[in-house]
Amino acid sequence: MAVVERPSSTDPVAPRLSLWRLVWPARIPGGFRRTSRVPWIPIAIISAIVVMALFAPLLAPYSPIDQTLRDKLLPPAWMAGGSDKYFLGTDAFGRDILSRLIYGARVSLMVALLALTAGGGVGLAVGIVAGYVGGAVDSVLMRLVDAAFTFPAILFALLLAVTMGQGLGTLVTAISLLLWASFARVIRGEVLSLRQRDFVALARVRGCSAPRIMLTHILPNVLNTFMVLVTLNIGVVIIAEATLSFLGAGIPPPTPTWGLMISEGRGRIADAWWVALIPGIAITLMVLSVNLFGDWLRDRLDPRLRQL
Amino acid sequence: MSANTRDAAPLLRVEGLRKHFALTKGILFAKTLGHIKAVDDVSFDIRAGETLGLVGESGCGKTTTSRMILNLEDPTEGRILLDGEPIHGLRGEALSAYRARVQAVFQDPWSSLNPRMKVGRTIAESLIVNASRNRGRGDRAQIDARVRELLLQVGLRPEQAQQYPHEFSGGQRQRVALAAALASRPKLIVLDEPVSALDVSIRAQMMNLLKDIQAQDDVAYLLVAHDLATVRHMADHTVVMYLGKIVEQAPTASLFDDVRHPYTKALFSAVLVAWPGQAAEEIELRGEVPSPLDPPSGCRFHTRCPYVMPHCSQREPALREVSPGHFVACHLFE
Amino acid sequence: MTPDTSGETVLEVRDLHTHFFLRRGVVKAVDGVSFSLRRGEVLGLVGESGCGKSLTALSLMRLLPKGGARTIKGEVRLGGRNILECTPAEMREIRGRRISMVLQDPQTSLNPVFTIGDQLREAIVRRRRASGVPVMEEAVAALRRVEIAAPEQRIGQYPHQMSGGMKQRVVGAIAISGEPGVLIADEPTTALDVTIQLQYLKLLKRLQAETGMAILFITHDFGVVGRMCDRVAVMYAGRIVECGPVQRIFEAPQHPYTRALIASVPKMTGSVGRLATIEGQPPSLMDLPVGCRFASRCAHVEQRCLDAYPGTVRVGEEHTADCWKVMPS
Repeated sequence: MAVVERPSSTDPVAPRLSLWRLVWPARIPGGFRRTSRVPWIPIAIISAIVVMALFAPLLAPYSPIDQTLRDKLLPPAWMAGGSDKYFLGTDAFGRDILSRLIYGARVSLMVALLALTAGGGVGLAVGIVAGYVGGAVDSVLMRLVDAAFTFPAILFALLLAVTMGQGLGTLVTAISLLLWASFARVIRGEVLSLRQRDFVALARVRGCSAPRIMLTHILPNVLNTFMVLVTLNIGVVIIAEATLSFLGAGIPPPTPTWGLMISEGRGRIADAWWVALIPGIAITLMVLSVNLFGDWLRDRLDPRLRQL
Repeated sequence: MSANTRDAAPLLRVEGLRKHFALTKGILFAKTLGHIKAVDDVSFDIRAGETLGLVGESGCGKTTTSRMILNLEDPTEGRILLDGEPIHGLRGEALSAYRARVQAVFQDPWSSLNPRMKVGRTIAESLIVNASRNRGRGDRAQIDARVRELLLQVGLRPEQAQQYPHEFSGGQRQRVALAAALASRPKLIVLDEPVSALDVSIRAQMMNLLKDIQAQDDVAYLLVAHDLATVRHMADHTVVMYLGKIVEQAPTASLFDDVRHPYTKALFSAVLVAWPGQAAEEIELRGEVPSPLDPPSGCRFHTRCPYVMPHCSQREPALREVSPGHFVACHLFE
Repeated sequence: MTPDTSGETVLEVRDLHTHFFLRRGVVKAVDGVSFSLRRGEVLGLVGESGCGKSLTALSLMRLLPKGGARTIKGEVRLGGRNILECTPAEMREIRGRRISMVLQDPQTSLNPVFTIGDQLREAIVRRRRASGVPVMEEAVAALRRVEIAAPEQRIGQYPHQMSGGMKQRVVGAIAISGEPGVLIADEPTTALDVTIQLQYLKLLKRLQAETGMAILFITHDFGVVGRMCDRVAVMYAGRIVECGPVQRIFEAPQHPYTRALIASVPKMTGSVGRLATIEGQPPSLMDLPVGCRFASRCAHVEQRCLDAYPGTVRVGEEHTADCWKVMPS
């Protein structure tokens, strides 16, 4: 029989702990099989709020702006003095808090959607370009990111409100400016490690141009991370919106937003606490739910982001 | 090899290739601390339809050399010629023509395929890119037909074009990578450790497949490997590198019959271990490969060489022909 | 110390079953593994990825990965005691002192934020028996033992300041600091360059000659087996299909899988024709056949191979194979 020689040994980057490959194929899209329990309660709360926002005109019992002054400051229905007509009570102008809450969800979600699309989108693009192109482009973009982090965001938003005037546009611009840098930083880190993967070098060998590689090879591979960032930032946006509205730099009254509702109830917290507390509870529930959902999504899609 | 092919002009010629990476400190006013001489004056030829094996341990410069041939890095000095045309500095049309003729398969099947792209799309990519360069979207049906043909050629089923990489085993992924490399009908494929991440039995399948394809398509291979047995089975010519330099270069059969350079001998004795009780001339090297940042003077191997002589540390040995086609860079053979 | 040649059994594994319990089903990664290891011996455990060789090692250390892996059956006798019945506290005593392990990747085996000295000292202090020698000196001695040049300087360095081969030596020094009777080496040289690999294997051999420890050497590389091992066990789909002295396995492999595997390895001598290959894929560990696990890829398959798993047949001195078609001796 022929002499048996030493076969070539496996390289350091070859799959380690081979068994894992079998039960748990690494690097598959949507990776990670060991999922934590699906967060049904947060999902239910988020769905309820989304439905509220979408079908506000159908769901709200009253108009959110019409004032009924003789019904002002009624407590919620289950309390002494409460009226069955206003389940969550009324505010100082006699407007139904439930209806305002339902319409307010619209504004909150609209702002979240727009700000995350704009800010997240810019951050995604900047992160991909900085990470893939590297060199001077990377240095310049990352210094911009650093600069964005040093910005006093609230102050800047107030400034914007003064110069551009209050409104949805101002609010979205301010919040986007707050968001893009953190997106860019995380995405860039992700791209830096992706760029080392062989399939990127092979795409170059096959003749793909840099924009093509960024679009077809890099972008699809950071979308998981991007989605996780989006969910984790919904809470940030809702709170920012509430803060700015509370400070008077948000959507001008009488359009209901949750932040504005708290602001309006602030002066009467002693005798009519529900006016401020109920939208406060709504914000807390919403932010808590999206964060729990985001945590779960992150564990499921991108366990590497756990330190965020 | 017949004298005929020997004299023919090479497909790829590497001339005096050097790659030095500057090691710098600081960002804005960077200070150069030194140069890593990853590849230092390397020359060889690859003829059409033949396999050249490039052997050495990590840090010897074999991967850097292959990346320069793939036009992923620019050389610091020296030239690479494909069919007599220099390949660096190519732009636009000429570059994509070059890309179509020189392709690659890399080592790690888990990293070689975009996990978010159907394998059919990966295989078709070079065709799609070329078609869009030529002001057209390419004939979909024609591309699909070529993808089917390629999948069959590498031993996969045509319907697997619709699957994602995670549905494939390591060996199958390497076949997909090979199919993608073959798509543009290249003249040369750089195989960077194409089988070392695979299991023993899968390795043999892949090596047979590579040989079959070479016989069918007359494609040349540059096989970068650290395993001598693989090189012996695949390569017509073998180049052994140590710390950025070629130390020995010969037709594979002649090299394996008559190893000359002490470093190559050490590599061989590190491999010749399988047979229990087999008596082989054994050289166990002392120490580790020195840093390429500050390579030893004279012959770079002198710090570990069992046959070191006083002048080895002073003069650098040149490659010398010791028998027809067999070149060695060592003072022992002067 | 001189190596004991009396062949006293130090580790005996009997009918070991370690399965992964996943939502989608049970992965029978280790499914009836038996072998024994004698003092001063090197047993090679060879197989392809996913055959269960690494999980066998982790089962012996009782360091199963999280996520549903459990040893559900079998015995692991270390010096007459079934360590599968030990408490976690007892296991901590056993690990390092009685049985120790070296893993493939030295990069991840060492903690990057502590110096080599800190990590060695931790191992020494924890495993220390009464001894008057200061810990630092002992750590330097441990490094000298694994032939690291200038150990006094190296001891203050961090892992990233060392090469792969050097790190793997440090890992080895830590592993043997408690003078274990059994060392499990799980592909310790796979990440190393060939010339460095040779150095490491020779070092392991020398250390073994000094201490007389038994080594379970896990690898997929027949070259390493030939160099290192006295006996070799070939694993396929969760079971050992053939076990025998290295010389016998190389010269006269009995199981068709072993034969095919050895034939598919590119050789350094002989003709350079087509390599033999094994067609097909190993069976899914979630859905193992009732019969022989290699039957679907075997060139000599018969009906009885599909109907029932062949027993372990003794085919020679210390040589067994799980195959219907081998001749018992």
